[in-house]
Amino acid sequence: MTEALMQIEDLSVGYTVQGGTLHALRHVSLDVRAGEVLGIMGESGCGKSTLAAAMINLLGANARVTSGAVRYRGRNILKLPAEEQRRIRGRHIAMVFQDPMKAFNPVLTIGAQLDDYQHNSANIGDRKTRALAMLEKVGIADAARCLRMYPHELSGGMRQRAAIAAALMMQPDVLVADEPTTALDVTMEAQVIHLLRALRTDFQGAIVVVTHHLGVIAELCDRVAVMYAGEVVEEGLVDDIFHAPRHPYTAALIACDPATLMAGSGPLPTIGGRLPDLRTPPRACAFAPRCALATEICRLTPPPRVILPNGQTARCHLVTA
Amino acid sequence: MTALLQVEGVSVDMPLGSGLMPGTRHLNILADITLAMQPGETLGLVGESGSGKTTLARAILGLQRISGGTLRFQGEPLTRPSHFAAIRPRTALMFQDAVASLSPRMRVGDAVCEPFTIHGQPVGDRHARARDLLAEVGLPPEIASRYPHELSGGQARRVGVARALALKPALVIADEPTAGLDVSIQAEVLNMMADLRDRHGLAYLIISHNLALVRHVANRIAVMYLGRLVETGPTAAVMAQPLHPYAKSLIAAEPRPDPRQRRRDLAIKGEIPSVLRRPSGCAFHTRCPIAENRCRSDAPALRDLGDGRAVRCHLV
Repeated sequence: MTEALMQIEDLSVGYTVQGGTLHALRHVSLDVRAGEVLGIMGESGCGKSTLAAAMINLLGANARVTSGAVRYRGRNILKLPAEEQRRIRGRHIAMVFQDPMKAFNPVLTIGAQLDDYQHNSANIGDRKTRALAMLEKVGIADAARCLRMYPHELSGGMRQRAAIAAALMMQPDVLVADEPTTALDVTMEAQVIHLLRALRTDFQGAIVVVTHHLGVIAELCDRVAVMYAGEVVEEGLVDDIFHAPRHPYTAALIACDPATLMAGSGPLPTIGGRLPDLRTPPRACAFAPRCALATEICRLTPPPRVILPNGQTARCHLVTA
Repeated sequence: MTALLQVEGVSVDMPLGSGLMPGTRHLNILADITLAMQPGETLGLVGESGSGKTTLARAILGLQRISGGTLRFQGEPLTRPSHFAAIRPRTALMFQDAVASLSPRMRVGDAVCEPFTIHGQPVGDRHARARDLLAEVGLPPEIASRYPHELSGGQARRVGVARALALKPALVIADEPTAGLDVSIQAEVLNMMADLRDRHGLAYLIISHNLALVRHVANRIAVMYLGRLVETGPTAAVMAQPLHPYAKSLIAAEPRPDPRQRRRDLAIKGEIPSVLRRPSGCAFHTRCPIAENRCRSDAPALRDLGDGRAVRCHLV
């Protein structure tokens, strides 16, 4: 097993909202390893975007870290002075956002912005050469023309490629992509997945992909963490997660995706019920009220994190190693 | 049996230029669209952004003027605005952005009863009517007193359906009915739509780029590319064996939730061209893996292949 580039240890994050604190992340522990694509999968409100923001320390002003750490090369990036955080952000840990239009400044050309990312490098000629090479690497056909264009002149797919190029400009160790294909059409989505997969092979670092789209996870990731109500409920290799899910939530989520069913096979399975209110998170298993298999113990005590022989983990009373 | 909807050779052109300088040149958006829907049928209209799906839906409802061809609804020709106005109570539109489609200042109960007022139909007891309509879509009666911003995405979607169903339409056009919803909520909305179809004999025209969704709900499928229908047929047949190279690559590009079925290479490269620079001949030839010389010069016609299938390709 390769060493962890980044370790998330017992991380809890709360947001100050009307009526108290919303506990968006609750004791999350997760390793990000070099050379892998880690998928973080879950539905709205499960905390996956908060986790992504914590990985690059871009949590909102109303967020409060109540426990734990995000360690990058051994140091807790959440506790570093602002100046040091800035030095890590973008250079060592970079992010690709869902909406590439918002990731770029609309009044500067792509070239000017790619140049800005390299402000530490003195030679203008080198900076331009590197920007061109990076745009070509992400599959932009006419890279020289793209450098002269403004963000609105690019199509959605091209903008997302340019945003990936921008994030890779400083050769970061960790690339965090939050819903990188959600705004794209299916043919562009396939191309961006293909691009990220190709990048993985010649990029030494790790790619973290956060998405609710099960198809994207299955196509792209090596390892998957499934989140529910602010917790990682299951974690394992992508094949195990999709073919032998152990947590009832993972199994239910995969079952209700119409893409997993044959045509016209009657009503889709549903999960029923709603997410718990995270202002008052349940003490016991958060999924128990919606779980078809829940028993008395599930409603009374917090489930243990069971580690299976293949390394898969599940936070469930009903799973035995 | 009279078809519910007949679209024959419909084209839409839009003038170039705007405001004080309306152009004399026109831009072709849709051409030669021919399809029919039977009562109770669900037709899935798929294609990438910019393929003309939404323009076609708007044309069917008279929200976009057509430049050629004919439209018929339950056998009646639709040519003048008054014709479209007459069929409007029998058709309904579910908008892509469910929250934005509801007036932020109107309570849910009033919003679902508004179609009666608009069409001058007796609504009876508004409270009872709102309660019944909300019950149809599985929402509790207390939702009636809420404002749209107090609803979740799934609830707003259900309110949109309740409003669409108010006047008991024969045809519901649903533009991306589950866009922005989580997988588990999407499943609930799709099940509800199927249940309403069975109980009320509704026909749905579902516009979506989510192929898995269309495969699950549609009896028939129509694939569009750059303003042309390129393939139509029964969903199971088209999904199992698509004939048009675009339909093939679109179906192959869909990410499947199974890591054992990963694709090694890309089914389709490049992007849909702009309608401002429509390729000559077959519009798909710039991305087509099997294009020949004649594809670059001659535009293929939609050919009927029997078994309800039709394809627009020289090479099929």
